[in-house]
Amino acid sequence: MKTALIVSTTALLAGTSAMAQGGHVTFTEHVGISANWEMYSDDSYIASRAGCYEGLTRVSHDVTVEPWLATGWERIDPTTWEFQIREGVRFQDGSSLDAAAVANALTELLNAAVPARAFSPAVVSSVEATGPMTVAITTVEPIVTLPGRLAAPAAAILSPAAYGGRGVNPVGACTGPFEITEYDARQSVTLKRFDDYWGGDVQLASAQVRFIPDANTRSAMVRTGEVQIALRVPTEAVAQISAAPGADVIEASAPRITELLLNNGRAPFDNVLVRQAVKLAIDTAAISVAVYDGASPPAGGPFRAGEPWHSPNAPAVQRDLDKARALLAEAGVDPASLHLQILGIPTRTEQRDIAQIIQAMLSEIGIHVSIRIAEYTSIEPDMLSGNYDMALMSRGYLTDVPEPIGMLSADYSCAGTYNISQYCDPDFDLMLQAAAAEEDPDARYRAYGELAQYIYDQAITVFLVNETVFDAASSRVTGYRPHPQNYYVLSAEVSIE
Amino acid sequence: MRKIVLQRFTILLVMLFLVSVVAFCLPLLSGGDPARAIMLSRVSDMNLAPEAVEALRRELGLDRPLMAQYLSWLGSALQGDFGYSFATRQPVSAEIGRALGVSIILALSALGVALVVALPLGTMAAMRPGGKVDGFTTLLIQTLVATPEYWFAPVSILIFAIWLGFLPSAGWESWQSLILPAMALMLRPMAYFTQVTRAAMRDVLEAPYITAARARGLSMNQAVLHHGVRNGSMPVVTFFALWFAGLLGGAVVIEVIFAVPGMGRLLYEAVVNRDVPMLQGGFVAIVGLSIVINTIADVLYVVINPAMRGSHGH
Repeated sequence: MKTALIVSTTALLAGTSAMAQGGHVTFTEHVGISANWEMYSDDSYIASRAGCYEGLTRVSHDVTVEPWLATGWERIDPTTWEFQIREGVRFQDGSSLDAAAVANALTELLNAAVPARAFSPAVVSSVEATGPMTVAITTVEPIVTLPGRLAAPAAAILSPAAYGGRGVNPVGACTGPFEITEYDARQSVTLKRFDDYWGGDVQLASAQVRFIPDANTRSAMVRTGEVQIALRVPTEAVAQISAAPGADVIEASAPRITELLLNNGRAPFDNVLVRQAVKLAIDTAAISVAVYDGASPPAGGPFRAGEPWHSPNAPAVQRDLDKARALLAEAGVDPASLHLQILGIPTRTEQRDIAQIIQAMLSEIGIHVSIRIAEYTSIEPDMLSGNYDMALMSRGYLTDVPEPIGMLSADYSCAGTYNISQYCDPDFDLMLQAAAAEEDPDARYRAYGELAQYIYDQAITVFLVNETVFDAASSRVTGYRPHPQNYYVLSAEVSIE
Repeated sequence: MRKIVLQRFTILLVMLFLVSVVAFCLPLLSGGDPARAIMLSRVSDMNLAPEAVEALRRELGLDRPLMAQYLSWLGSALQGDFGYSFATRQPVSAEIGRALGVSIILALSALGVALVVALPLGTMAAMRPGGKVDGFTTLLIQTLVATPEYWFAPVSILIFAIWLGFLPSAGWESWQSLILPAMALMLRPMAYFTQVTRAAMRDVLEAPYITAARARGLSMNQAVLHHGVRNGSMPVVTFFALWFAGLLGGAVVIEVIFAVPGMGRLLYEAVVNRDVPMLQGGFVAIVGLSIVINTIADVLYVVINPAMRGSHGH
């Protein structure tokens, strides 16, 4: 009798702990569904942040790759990886996750009309179920960052039912803690708790994503309590939100740099002395204070202090006009002969201010600068072809892969697809190739740091500030913290009092 | 009246053709490669994979010659098929229909309230030129005309959503969602309607038939009510039609700030997303409707004022 009582009490307690709290959370996105859930598009990010999409791996908040729908992986030869699929996972349509479903989802990704860059045929040649719960992925070239690529929202694993129509249909097709019940591409996505979620109790009963294009309206909605989480509120709204009762601002270091790209492919910036002179003439600390209220710190190299690939010998530059003038003289360049132009884009409103500050700073060493603010699509051809002098850019360096190899390679290698700097140095390319092939993560991160140092020393680009972003959340929300790559918002742990 | 309709119909066809050409060329006019531009609107990273851009170009048919793309679109459009949105993959006509419904409700609410306020205010101001009501009206008109929507909209959110907590800040989920955007939208039309009513009523009140009505023993108020308002409201009908047509696609700022899924926001997002079929369909719908609305206004003008019958041909 006593044993029976203990057993039933234990069962009751277990039942109580398994019972989810309930509650509803709404969070805002600034753009709606723009490509009918095509995996390559940012729609995948929306579904991932909504707690619907999950991949074989995930990126933790300290930017390390962790198992998710895969429990482990092994590189069995230079181009082949084997992933063990997690047991006991169900899709929201009731079907089971197994190797066949994973192989189907990833093969659909490879065969998509428009490939996703994180997992495209340029990177991966085949995906095969080699056992009931084992999947082999073969890459085109040896690639050490494949597990990180599989964490990209574009590489989420959906049930076979998701594919086949126009685009991808995520309704009932995810494995995540939240299930999409309905959506309006321009208005909202409605979600309910997935009761059979493999990852434990889901605290919230339901959730909603609302698409609010205006940043100030998003800020207002947190203050009124209409939404509980607003992503990426403007810096100028931070003080008001912080002062509002029941709302908090959460600061996050974004893996993103605001930089001044210099055209290394033509005079005068084909001369390292001129590049260094310009770098010394720009006061990044002043830009940080004047434009960002000091929230985004002045940058030295491309990466933020504290990141594993940050180079400690690349501090923010101390402005030194005498040295800048001396460098120009050493280069044999008369600053009065320099009439240069800075390009910027209107959607990044801060770029106009930064351009004006740089214009004033460079005039102090005699360089005349004009400013052109234009739509990105209209100036991009000139930038890519090297028909420009200087350009302001806000550049993320952990997109698709949670390591900066993608950015370093695209932006600074001779064959880089985004080499706006027009920089080409075979020595740098060799360093890059060695870093990309390094299997030991710590050694690889050090190699990235050395590449960053090289860019810093050569003044290929002038790095201005490491960007800080702000999310706003109701004080009643617990379990939410901004993700560095902005991959996740809703999770089983997010709850509301 | 038939002449008006026929004339307007011809203008409609010519305008629709010109608009279709302009809408088709818009993505090209903004410079750069349209396929890259579309891709850039869909992914947050500006470093695009060249193979993805080429695949998107093929998928959207942008690899075909321009003339072939245009003729193919025109052929379908003539049969009422505006194709599928690049962004949502839903039929353009259905998306436009839905957005137009929202914009019509918003525009009619804003203009309806504006009219209800403006007609009596303008009439009262006209009846006592230089009086207190006239002074107040002039001040009000000047204030409202000088009040930008992009300023008033956030201020109204601050007051009614944040401070008072009466109304939702944004969205289109209940009738309360309509109030703030309609308030912000009605300011300028209300000012113009009041001004036009005042001016028209000034003319009407000096007309011989008002003097005759007064001579027959009617009070000023009776004369205005029975003979003045009908004639004085005619210019307002034209203004109402112009504003209505304008607001259907022109309330972009308000629809973006308040996240209203109307035509303004639809077109704004189509521009941002380089959603060419949506832009083409949306432009054609807006221009077509503007001409239809103005034609109806002209017809109404003739109906209200019998004196115009037979002479009104423009």
